[in-house]
Amino acid sequence: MNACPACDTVWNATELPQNCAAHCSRCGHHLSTNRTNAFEHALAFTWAGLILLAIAATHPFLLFAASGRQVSMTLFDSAFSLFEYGQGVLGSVVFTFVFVAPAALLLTQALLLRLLISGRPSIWLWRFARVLDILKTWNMIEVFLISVFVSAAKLASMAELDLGVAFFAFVGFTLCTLISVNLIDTVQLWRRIEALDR
Amino acid sequence: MNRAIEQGYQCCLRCTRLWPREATACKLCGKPLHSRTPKSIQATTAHLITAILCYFPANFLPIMQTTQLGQVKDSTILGGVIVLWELGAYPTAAVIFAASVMIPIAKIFALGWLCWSARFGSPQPAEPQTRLYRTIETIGSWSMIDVFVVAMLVALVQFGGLLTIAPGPAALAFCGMVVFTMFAAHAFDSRLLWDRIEP
Ligand SMILES: [Zn+2]
Ligand SMILES: [Zn+2]
Repeated sequence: MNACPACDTVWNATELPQNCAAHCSRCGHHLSTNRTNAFEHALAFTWAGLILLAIAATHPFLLFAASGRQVSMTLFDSAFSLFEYGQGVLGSVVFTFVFVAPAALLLTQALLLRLLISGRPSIWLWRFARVLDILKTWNMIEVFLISVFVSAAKLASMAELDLGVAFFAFVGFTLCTLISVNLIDTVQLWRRIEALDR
Repeated sequence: MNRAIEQGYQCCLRCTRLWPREATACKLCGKPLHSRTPKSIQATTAHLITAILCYFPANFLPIMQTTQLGQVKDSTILGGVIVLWELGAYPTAAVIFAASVMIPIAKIFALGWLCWSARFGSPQPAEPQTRLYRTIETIGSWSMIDVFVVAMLVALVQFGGLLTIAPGPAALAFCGMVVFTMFAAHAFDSRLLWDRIEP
């Protein structure tokens, strides 16, 4: 048996049919969605996201030209240039939210889903799923994407702005991350782990 | 009578499985079990107070410093919104105003009100209050937009003596405000809102 984490109403996850979503009868909170092959699809998006992240991290992100000079920045520069101004704490926070958390999220997800799909019981299933739960809360990649658009709007009036290869890779990476995170339903994930442990 | 607490069970907040009241940790995912999160209202209030303390430096100190041809100019969040508005970038100005000025303070007040309701009761039904709490939790990280924008501008606008942008002290305060409001939201247990209706 399960309960709604928002209002404590009891419900039974084993009765949820395939391709159906359950909402709490009392408070309306989304409880779980039971999609067919959700973990297999999520793994595909996770690998795609990791490849796009590798491209995004190693290529120029934005190119900015003003008064005859050109500046090109990588994804890392958004965090590291803060260090140069003595804002080390802020730089670390931005670096964690923009790079460490999403990269760790996708890596953990890839390892967890591989183990889960292989169908072998393992202590690592439980460990990865716990880490994933924490990383999901601190993943701000979609917020960063919107701030890139806002900065582009601010700078467009000042000088010429060019989008680098990494920019498009980053948009793809953000989409892959969002889709894969949404495909992995927490309740169904733990039910699958429980079934393997038996 | 279909609540876990009334049937002698407690719900795991990570995997949502039910366990007998005597259990101390979830046998499936390992999370410590409590029928209701202990000291939830105290922890939420403490984090909210910290967030409020960060709100003032975040809005009144400069968030970035522009140096153009030797001239130094400090800009605050509100000042930036006004500049964008005057430039005619109305949608961007509106997004920044909503995300950086309105939403943070609205979130802090809403969570404070929810704490008050959970502790002292409220004429409002619990269902819209739970929905409000879920909304606060989901939009938690969106206020970080401004901090990330400053990080992007600092990285991009580096033209030596001609034009440079440096981060200001408000950026860290703003970041602290967002993170502490997120901690406050995580610490709050929305099941408390339903307890006062059916104790
Ligand atoms: Zn509910
Ligand atoms: Zn659990």
